Amino acid sequence: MTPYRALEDVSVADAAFEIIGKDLNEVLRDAALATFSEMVDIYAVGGTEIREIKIEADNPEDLLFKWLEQLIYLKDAEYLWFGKFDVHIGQKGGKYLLEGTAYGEKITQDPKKMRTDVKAITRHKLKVEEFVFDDVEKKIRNGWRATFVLDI
Amino acid sequence: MFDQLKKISDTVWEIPPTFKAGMRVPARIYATEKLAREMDMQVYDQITNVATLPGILKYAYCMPDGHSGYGFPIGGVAAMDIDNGGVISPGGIGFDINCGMRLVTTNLTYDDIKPHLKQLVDELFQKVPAGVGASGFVKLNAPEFKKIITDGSEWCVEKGYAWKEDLEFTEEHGRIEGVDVSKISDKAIKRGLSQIGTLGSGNHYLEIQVAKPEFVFDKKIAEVFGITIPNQIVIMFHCGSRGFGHQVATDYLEKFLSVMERKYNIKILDRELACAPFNSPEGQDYFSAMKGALNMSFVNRQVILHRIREVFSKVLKQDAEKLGLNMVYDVAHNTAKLEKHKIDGEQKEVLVHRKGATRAFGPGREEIIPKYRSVGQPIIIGGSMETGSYLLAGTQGAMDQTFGSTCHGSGRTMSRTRAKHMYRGEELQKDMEKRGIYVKTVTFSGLAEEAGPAYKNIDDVIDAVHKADISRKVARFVPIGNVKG
Repeated sequence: MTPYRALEDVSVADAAFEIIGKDLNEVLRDAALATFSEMVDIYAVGGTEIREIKIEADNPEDLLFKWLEQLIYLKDAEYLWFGKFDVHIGQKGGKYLLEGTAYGEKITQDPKKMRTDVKAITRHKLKVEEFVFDDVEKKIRNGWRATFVLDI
Repeated sequence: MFDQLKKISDTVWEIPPTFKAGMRVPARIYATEKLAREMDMQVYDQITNVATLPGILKYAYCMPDGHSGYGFPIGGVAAMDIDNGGVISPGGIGFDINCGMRLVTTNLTYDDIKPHLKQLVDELFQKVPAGVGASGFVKLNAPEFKKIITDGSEWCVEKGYAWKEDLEFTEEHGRIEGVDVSKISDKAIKRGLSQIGTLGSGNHYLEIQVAKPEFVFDKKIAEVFGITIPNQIVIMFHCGSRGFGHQVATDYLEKFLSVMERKYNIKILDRELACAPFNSPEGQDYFSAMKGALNMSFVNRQVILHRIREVFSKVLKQDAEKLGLNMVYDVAHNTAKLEKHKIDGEQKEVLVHRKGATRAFGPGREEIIPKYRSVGQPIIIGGSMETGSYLLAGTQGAMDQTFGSTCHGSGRTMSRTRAKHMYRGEELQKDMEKRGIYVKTVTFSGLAEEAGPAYKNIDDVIDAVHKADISRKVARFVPIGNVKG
């Protein structure tokens, strides 16, 4: 089961996702996986290129936006695609602080693994909220849910 | 929703300002009844949100290819009164600033090309990079890139990537003045640095097409535009400002969100409609940066044309000049421009946002080059890769009704996710080849996303704009070769 769900009817020309996770770390990690899954078979991406990313934001939505924006920027500016992410989010002085590590490789344009380019993360339907869900063992969990739309 | 629309004519439908709180003007949908019925609710929601923007004039328009976007729907047009608090909104232009179309004629016929078609498409596929991480052959550093975004296509003439006359056949002559590079982030420049001469991905493409005589609807205008030979080969391509433009849009969307309410007391119904007064420092900064992306996109398409000329020359063993690889026109369909329009009998300079909409200036407009001025500007409309594309001409009707605007393409009806579930790219490629269209694609999943049924019927869209008299049909082109991003 993939850790993210494509939302079919939210935006016809673009790519929309829903992520549910037990905490913000998981949700933002999986949002990054969803973003790169549009561009590449993430399971076929190596981990030789590592980028450390630090983001600060006033709220979880801005945090998600800035996180994905930075990853999309690296894709174009440094020709990298990523297949694995570690995310740690803390709070200090009312701000959300993300320390992330992205593991990837230089883009090879291998047609076997390349998919469609992502232009930008949008603010359309962007939402990060606390969410109650059933986990695989049918236990009720307090977690988080995010939805976002990528411009293709 | 359709039943709530007021019919103005067979191709114009109106949503009154009473429909939604905050609407300053009505919304007008340009579509046949069939297309209007098929538009999803998000389109109506978005265009009525646009109608709430400060300074909007007359109507918030949606073209017949309209579909849901963010902020503005795709196919959205809005003109703003910049002297009375009218705003500029990046959502009214799109992330892909100056995404646009270029059309090129040749003096070749289908019979001339047929033996070489596969080789031409294969070579174009090699020479015009597309897809994620594509890098162009033009190697630039930051200072040179800044020259490009200031000088536009004039830079290409200097470097040997353009014939001087190409600029005449490009909107704005391939260069719009007023770019301040200090208003553009280093991030934007870094994203775009290696992407000059690349197609991009998604719905971007390069197509070899045929002008069959039975699809030339207005012979006189077709001849003015250079369509003169039965079964003439033309080349059409669709791309924009790549990562550079996307980052400019992102940067200013965020900037406007931070100042809009706090500084200008503007409240909006959708964050993607983030805006600032056009005459504010932030509005002017974005306008200047946006113009840089406009110029970069002109350069991108110009360099791609250079590669097309190289390939045709190599494969057909003749100079590009002898092959008649001349531009018809280059149009932008994601822009905001200052234009003079007649409002209540008086000429007024307004800011026209076109997001997935094309300028359609009619006969007599001074912005149109002398060669085309008597017939109106060319409008290049891309259909799906399976159906065909159109060449139209601008009309006085467009000037009177839609601030000189018309549609830009087919408009999607099916999400990319659904298209990937329903179609297999490999099968689509084989099927298209059986139907006489040779396609080279960067990815099969990308090809599936662009399947013909994912789009509206282009003929319906074109009939709508023709009947509404906001464009005139000139010719329809049939695809025979395609490079898909």
